[in-house]
Amino acid sequence: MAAEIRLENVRKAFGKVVAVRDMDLVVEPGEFLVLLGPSGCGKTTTLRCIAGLERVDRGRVYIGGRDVTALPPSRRGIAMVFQSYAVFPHMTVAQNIAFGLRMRHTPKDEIKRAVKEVAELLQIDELLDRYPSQLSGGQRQRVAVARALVMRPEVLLMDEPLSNLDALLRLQMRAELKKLHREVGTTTVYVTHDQIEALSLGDRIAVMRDGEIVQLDTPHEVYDKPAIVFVGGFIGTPPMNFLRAEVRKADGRVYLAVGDFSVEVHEEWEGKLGEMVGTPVVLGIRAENIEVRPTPEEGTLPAQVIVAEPLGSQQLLTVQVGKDVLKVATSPELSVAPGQTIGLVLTKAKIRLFDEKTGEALKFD
Amino acid sequence: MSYPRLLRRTLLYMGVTAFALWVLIPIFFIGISSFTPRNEIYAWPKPIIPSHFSLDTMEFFLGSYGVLNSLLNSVWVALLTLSFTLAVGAPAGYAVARFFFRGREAFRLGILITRMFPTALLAVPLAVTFIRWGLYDTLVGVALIHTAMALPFAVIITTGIFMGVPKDLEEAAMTLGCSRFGAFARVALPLALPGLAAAAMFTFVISWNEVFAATILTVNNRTLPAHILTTIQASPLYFRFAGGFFMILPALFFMFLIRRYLFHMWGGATAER
Repeated sequence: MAAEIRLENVRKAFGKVVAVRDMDLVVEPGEFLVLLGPSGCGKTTTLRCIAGLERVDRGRVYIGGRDVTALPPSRRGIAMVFQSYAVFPHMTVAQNIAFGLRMRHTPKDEIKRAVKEVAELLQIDELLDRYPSQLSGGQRQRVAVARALVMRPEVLLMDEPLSNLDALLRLQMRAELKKLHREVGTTTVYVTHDQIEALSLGDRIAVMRDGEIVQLDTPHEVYDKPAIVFVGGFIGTPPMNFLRAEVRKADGRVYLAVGDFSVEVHEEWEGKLGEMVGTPVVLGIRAENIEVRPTPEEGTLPAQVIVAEPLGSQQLLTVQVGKDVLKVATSPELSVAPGQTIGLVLTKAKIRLFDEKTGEALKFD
Repeated sequence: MSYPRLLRRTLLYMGVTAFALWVLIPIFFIGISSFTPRNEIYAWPKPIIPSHFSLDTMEFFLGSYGVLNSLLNSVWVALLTLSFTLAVGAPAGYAVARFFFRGREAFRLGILITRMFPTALLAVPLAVTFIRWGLYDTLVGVALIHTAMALPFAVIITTGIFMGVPKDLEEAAMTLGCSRFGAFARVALPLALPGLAAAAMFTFVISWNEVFAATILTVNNRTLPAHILTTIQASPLYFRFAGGFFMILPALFFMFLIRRYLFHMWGGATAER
């Protein structure tokens, strides 16, 4: 049922713009893979190359071990959900869902049974006789998903399926898509620019930039251990904080100098960092991995509060450390006023260091 | 409403009214006259509303020598033109709407430029060529010329129609098992059908109204406008009125049906009504 997708050295350019740059990618059978990136990063083009809606300039595409590079979409064993839903306006919901099976010349009674089954799964069995113009956006979306699932595809491709829904509905559909994937188990490739969607849905996330995958990992790893500065800055609300720092050594201990202040590092890193004394680095840390002390004490990083935003479950502080601005998540009970100077403690284990020039994370293993 | 705005409005409506009257008054008189008893047409002073409604004039017109025959010719030519035009124009419109190709914009403009070339200049070479090819004085020959005239409009209208059918829909059909052509036939075509019908009517009217080429290229197989043009000088007044009315009729009827697509063609966004 579920097939492996393999891209080998796939390249696709539009004129001089390279949308997909020599990409290698393996999606495991049954996996939910999210292609995440800002607009124009080539994620939709990658999906369309898998679907066969774009012809690749070079490289091969395999689905279930079969070379489908030269095959049209209809013969690749895929189904796709479009951003616009692309529900046929001149057909009823039932006809829309049955369309693909009719193209396959499935017997009529079998089509009827399959349509009913998938409509029940997506809770649109009441709407089967309606036309798309009589449906809400959320309902149309369900029709589009049902129309794809009824094909029992080896691979399900989704191109920003939730981006046209309002916020509340998006939240609800997100959970439903996840549940659906668990029930159906089809290999799924899902394109989005919404990092929260990516984190919540993906078994793995492929973060893309300029036609390349810059990191391919589990949501946890991508969030916690971004491979480059770009990933840290793109994923998370608020995004990862970055501070300019320099590696220094005093009294046999290696530490990071942020302005006039020092930040301790993980003991395991000291060996490698010891060889880098004097090198400027970028220190990355997430808002929730910074503790706040009401006053700057010994061993803390002094910071000036610019804004305090209570967000219900937490309070988000915007603070200034030297020339850098940081976001810090604290408990909503902490009372701070703009202008106040506080002390910050960075959680040692959660610090991430990047090469200042390439933006790539430093590796310590 | 502020004073300058009011003034602008008033001027606008006055202009529109004047323009409408300029077009409508002749149509009104032609229409009225063709249903007036024959003797009343010559009356002076002429009553604006005839004393009674009469089919007399129309009967005389339709019964005149050659009218029925040329009417049939006109219908045949219009139908042939329509088939030729759609057979060539609709695929061209689809191509312009869907595919990026080198010179696409030049093609869109160039297609209109063909309409700027005056037919009068072509009259003699056309006649000579048609005689050589054996197309002279045939309905197919006239239909070919009409096709050449209607094609630019047909391409522009169908381009607009196919642009209105989202590409996604065809792609969705392709992922669901259709070939490229299957997706076109099962999804794009049914959705474009009302617009294509409008383009067809427009083409029909262009051919129906065309008089110059039809007059030059035929001798015995006249279309209705050609027939009327060549006989009108020798005809009584009521014949002219009835002929005029008969010529206007399909144009009025079809234009009313397809006006929303014509707006579309001129690029107006006001067509949603």
